[in-house]
Amino acid sequence: MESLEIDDDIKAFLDESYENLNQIEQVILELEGNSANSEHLTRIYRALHTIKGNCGFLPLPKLESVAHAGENLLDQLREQHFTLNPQIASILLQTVDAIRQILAQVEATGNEGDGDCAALIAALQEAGVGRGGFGKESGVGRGGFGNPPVQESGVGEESRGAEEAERAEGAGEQQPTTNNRQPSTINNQQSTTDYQLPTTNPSDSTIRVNVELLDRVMNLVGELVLARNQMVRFAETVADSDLTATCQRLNQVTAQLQEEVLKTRMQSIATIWQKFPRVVRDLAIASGKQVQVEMNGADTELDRTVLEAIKDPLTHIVRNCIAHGIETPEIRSSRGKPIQGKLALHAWHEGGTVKIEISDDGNGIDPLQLKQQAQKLGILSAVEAEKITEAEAFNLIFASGFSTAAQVTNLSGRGVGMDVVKTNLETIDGTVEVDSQVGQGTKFKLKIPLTLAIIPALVAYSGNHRFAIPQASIQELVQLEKEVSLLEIETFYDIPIYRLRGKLLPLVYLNQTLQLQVVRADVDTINIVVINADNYYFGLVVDQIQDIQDIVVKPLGKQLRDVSAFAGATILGDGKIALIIDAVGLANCAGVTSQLQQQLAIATATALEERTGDRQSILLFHGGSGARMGLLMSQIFRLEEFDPIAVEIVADRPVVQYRNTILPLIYLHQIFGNSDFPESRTPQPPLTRGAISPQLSWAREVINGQNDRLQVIVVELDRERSLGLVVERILDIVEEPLAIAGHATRSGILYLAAIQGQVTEILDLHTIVQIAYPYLLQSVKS
Amino acid sequence: MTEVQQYCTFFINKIHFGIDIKQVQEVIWSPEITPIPLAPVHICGLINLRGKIVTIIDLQCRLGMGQSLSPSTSHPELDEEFLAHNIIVQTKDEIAGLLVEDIGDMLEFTSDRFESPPATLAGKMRKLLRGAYSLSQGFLMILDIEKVLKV
Repeated sequence: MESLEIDDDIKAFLDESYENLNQIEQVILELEGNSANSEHLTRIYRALHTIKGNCGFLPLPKLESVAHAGENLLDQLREQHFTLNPQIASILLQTVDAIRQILAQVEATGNEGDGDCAALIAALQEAGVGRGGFGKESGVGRGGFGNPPVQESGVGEESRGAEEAERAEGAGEQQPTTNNRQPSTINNQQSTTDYQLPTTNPSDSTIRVNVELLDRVMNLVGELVLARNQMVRFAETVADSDLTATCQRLNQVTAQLQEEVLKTRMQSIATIWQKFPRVVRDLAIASGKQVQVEMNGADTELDRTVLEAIKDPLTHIVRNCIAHGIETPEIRSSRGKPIQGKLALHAWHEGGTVKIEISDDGNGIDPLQLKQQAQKLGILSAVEAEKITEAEAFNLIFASGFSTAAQVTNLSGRGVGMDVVKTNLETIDGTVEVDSQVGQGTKFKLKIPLTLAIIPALVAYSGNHRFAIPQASIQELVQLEKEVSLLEIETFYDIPIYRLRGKLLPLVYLNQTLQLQVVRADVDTINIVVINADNYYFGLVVDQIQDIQDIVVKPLGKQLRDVSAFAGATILGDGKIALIIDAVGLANCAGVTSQLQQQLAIATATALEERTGDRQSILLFHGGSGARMGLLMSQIFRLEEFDPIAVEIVADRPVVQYRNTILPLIYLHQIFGNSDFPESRTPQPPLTRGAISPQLSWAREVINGQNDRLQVIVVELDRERSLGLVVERILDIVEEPLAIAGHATRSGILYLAAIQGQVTEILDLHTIVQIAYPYLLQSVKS
Repeated sequence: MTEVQQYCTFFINKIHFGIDIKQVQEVIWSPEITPIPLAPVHICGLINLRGKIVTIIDLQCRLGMGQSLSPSTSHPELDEEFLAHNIIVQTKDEIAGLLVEDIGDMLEFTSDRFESPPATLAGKMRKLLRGAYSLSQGFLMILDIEKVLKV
């Protein structure tokens, strides 16, 4: 017989089985004499079922068959609701013993032993079947009872070889002689032997620990790390070799302790994955597809808090793969693919992080289709869509409110999109990327930190404020001499840019972004921390950089939930607090926002000379002081007129009630700095008419009905949030190819275009909202 | 039955306030407060309370009683001379500090003397006030800590 290697899995199985057996035994003893309590029966049934289920994964057929027979009997007991009489109780207890002995054998030798359980199994079966006539049952039962101890002796006593066991099988009735025990005293004798068995029980070497306790220990280790940091710092200032040596020792021990405690909190990713086969099966059936799941690296371990945080994102991606990725069997066979789709999950450790790939061999994602959809939703303009790369196009699926699903099904389109997956992963400093080949399949690549509680971070100064920047988000550090910096930091529009190896790196001055009212020290060098926020790079300019050290992340209070620039706080070596910078949050605060938007801005800038053949519907209007402006019709929900009296002021901001919602208003003339509107109307140029497409004629009435009412362009931020742009006068709707004619000259404008021969400023909605209602934009994102 | 309630009392703008003593963990001198950039105006910053990071709320500002007590919100450079009291309060799920001007006595009242806030009281105070007890001179205003912390 092949021996099992006693690895962690087997140990865990043994632990759990012993625990279950103890429970079963206890319940049987409680039940005996009382009428069958179905709840109790269910409990032991479940416990036995667990053992059976577990050994199904291991080559332990004998154990499985015994457990199975016991389970059957219990099942019958449950259904028939009859009293658990002593005979049945003892036969169940014998089963417990037999299982325990097999387990002991497995533990000692790695195999199930040569004992045979056929008689016990037969007894179990008969106890179930023969229950109808009670007298008969006891007769049969007794016959059955005689056997089990024999089997046990075969199992338990290694000295007796296979021969004896075979004989036992052949002539069960003879065997009691080989055993000292008398059948009539089975119970007592067994119970004495039982209690000797667990001396080598592996449960002695492992214990189950309450997660809360583990969290508290982790917290204390965090405190210890802080105290260590303080101590080390203090020792540096005191020139005492004893103290230095003690500190070094303290340093080592703390580091080891930290590592070990982190290990105790590790759980394998299998704890999430084991649920997937079921999820996949249900989803596949619901969507009429056939899906096979393949999992690799299930033993990859992560800290439990991280594990908890990735559970939902992973599930969502799996659902997405089945709902959108894998095709129906008909389509698959027509494409020459195997009917059964494949979903593969793969996890591994790499460079202190965990990588997870979830891939399917389905439809794939068509980047062109994504671009078109993005244009339809107003996320991209035609020019922008032309410019972005395939990888950037794939990233569109993470944009808020984005969906390619033609219709809402019960699998998707429930308003929870991939954007939520992304934001959830970002909260734990993880990232997600997509790669796809049309017709070949899609692959989601996730990068997750191993742990969250104690992280390495760079301590940086801005003035005398100190901040911790998690190392995970730092790409590199660049230091420039002041003279050099004057030459190398250029201004691109309004933003400072540094050319890092030929690439444009937008710079964010930490003190400006955080509105720190400190005078920047006159420093000789400029420190740029190159930060990777969500795969988008920017340079964070700080005054001074300290070393990288382990910090203990402490959450900020609820009152600070909306301060997105910080991920938490920590206590530094000197006992003072430093805020931990959230790379993505800070990027948002600084207005560099997402990768996509920034790349789009650059794409727009580099596309200055480009023309696209696409004709676009453009709404022309006067924003204020006669400034001629344009907005893509795709970004517009409706054109409306409101009586000025309808405008109410809430929190200093104008709003109107509109279609059962409150519509915030943005007066464009305020954004663009012309406060004189609407008192002094500027002379209105004659209405120019371009080609108005018939379907847009609904807008004509609004255009023609110019009067003293407020002209409002209603735009949608997302499905739920809209806002109104108050313009001086709506001019026209034209269909023209949108050509970029020049740089924007002020904030809130994307670029200049020549429309109908006149220079028109094309509005940058995002920036305008950011200027007027930064909070609204934040709440849309979250 | 009349129960006896104990209150930790303090002053803001010479007005006498009280909070349920059961929710008060301790009263400390203001240690160094680390300001939080971009935080709401009524948040003074964070303190290190024996290894715990505690958010300090400027109660005067939170109650809408005018400009902040704490110089840290208007000037990030904390005034060394400035000393205020922090009442560390604990609710069931969080711990926070309230920055107040001056600490008063611990006062005891029987619950039958408790009065609801006048219906005409307006502003933030109305939402955050549980009620009041009349004293020989003026009133003791009882704050609802849960609401004060809920921002």
